[in-house]
Amino acid sequence: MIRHLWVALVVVLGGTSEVLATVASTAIYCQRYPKAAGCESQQASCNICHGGPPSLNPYGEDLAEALTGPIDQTLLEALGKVENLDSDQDGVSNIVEISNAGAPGNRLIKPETNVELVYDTTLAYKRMKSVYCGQSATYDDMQRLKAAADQKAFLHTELQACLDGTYWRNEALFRLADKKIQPQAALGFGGNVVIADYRWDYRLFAYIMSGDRDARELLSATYHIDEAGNKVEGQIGRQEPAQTGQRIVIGGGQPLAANRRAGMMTTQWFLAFYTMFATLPRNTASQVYREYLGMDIAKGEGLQPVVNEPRDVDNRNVRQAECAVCHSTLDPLSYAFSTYVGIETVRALLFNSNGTYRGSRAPWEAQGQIMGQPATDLLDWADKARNSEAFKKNLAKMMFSQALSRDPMPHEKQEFDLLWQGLPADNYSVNKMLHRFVDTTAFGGRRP
Amino acid sequence: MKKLLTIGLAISVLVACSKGSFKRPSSKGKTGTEQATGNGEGVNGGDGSENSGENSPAGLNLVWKRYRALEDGLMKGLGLPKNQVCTELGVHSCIDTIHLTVLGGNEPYVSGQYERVHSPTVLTAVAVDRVVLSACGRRLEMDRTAGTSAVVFKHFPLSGGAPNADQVKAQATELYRRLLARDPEANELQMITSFAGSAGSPDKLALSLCFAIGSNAENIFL
Repeated sequence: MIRHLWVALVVVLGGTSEVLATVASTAIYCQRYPKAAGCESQQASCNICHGGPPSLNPYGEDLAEALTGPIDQTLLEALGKVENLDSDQDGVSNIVEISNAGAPGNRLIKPETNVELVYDTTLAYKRMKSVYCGQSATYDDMQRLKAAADQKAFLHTELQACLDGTYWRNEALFRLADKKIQPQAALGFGGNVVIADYRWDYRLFAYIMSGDRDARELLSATYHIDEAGNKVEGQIGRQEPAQTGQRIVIGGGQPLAANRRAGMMTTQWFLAFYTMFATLPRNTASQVYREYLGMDIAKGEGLQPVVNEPRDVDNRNVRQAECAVCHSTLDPLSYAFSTYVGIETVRALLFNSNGTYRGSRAPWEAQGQIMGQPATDLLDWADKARNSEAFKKNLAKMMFSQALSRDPMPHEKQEFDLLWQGLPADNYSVNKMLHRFVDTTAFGGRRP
Repeated sequence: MKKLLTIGLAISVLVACSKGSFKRPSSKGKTGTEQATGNGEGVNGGDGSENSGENSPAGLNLVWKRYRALEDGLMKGLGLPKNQVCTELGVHSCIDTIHLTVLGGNEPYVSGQYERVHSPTVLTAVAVDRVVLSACGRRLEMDRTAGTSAVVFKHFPLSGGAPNADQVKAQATELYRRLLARDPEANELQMITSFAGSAGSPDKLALSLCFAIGSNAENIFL
């Protein structure tokens, strides 16, 4: 109680800027503990110290007590002071947890050595049916599993049937895409103010994520999928005519030239919805970075500052230190998107221009960087993104979380690493990765 | 109805206590080791974010059978078409609309729910009970009308005198197979038969059995 009061008092009297963490804090943490969970991929984030910002977890509370001044100046020293404490009281000291992929502020996560699970085919089968078929295993199913000469083979045969089924392809994968697409019925096909048709986005996502296709096409596809499930090459016109009045329809189809496309990040909906009227499409770039590379800049993840950035090319006053800590990464990340139209009005009504390419829209297209590498244009940007380690990790994590409703835990790190590391050998097939996934103890393990 | 619910809940607890794996997930009283090793029961809790990295004391290693699989189990297990499982006001689907969120789904297009909750909410148990009781009740009425052609509740007459122990065991076995995909264990049958005598009329016993077995944690967490 005293600790809570102390923290509250410091926040009130000292001002939040001195006490609450900044994104630089995670950099300092990773500087001291480069092998800590998340630091190897620059993704150490708020939950090291926070249960859910602004509330602190026990480790964060101990750190807050150990601070002697502004966090950016005294954190390094404070980290050392609390190393030998056991903040989350799980029987393992903070430094041992940090050094062994544990979590010093979460008593449920300890170093991986404490876990012992055995694989249970029956459990894995029931889970598989629920997650990938949207079904409950029946008594007959269980009898067939029991009678199978090779239960693992039976499991995989059934899994393949699920992955080819309508639930997985038309429902589960659609729900997996929601956060990436963020549809709004009022702005999509049939809505009151139609800026684009997100149904194309859902179909493209589900198509690429199924059927043993190369998942990197999420960021490279130059085609689209029509309602019948067929590939459509080239530009696609509006399905309903442009109009104003009671309803406004200025978008629809896929008007972007095929040679300017990069899969999900260049659909008309994605560009219109995330860029909107922005000259520099920071929101668009950060959404790709978050959803397809697993790095949320708003959480201090994936920060790779570029020298002499941010230049504040659109006069948004982002040069001040508090802004620059993120914008030195975000702005260079966004330059390649600046030649793609977001939302227009009259021109969109007449020419369906939302989400199209226009080289003259901004002069910064070739000045960008992604993950420390220069990007000459958006196609180059997408190429570097989809071939990165971050893309593979994010894909594996996405499927892991979809199935188990949680992130991998420290004791599952080895299995998780094998999942994403095996993607190239699987030709980036999500289906093949899922076949490997259901064989892990993370998916089908239980207490001996 | 209140009495019926009480009976159902009572038998649910009884059945749950008869087998370790039946226990409802609890966030209390677990040791750190149980939690960390994923040996606890239940699914993640926390702040509602799948990527929060913060897991609840409820356990780390169970999978929540979400809305579609739950619905499928009731449809197949009780031989019901989709529109007979559960509707509110006879119109709105419990699964697809009214209780979708707390049963683990999300509606993105109109509601703007771009993510599902990653763990059951405080209302999930209520919604599960509502859906299971509705489905069981519907099957009971269909079988009452069907008479000798009954599909699920066919092991003792739904009206008249109390069923004998063998009939109760046969009905319970039928429901275990249909809803939990396994045969009941001897101690489970014993507990059910000992309860049957105080369950009231045969149709109430039948409904209570269906509700208790169908809403059991074993049917919700994998």
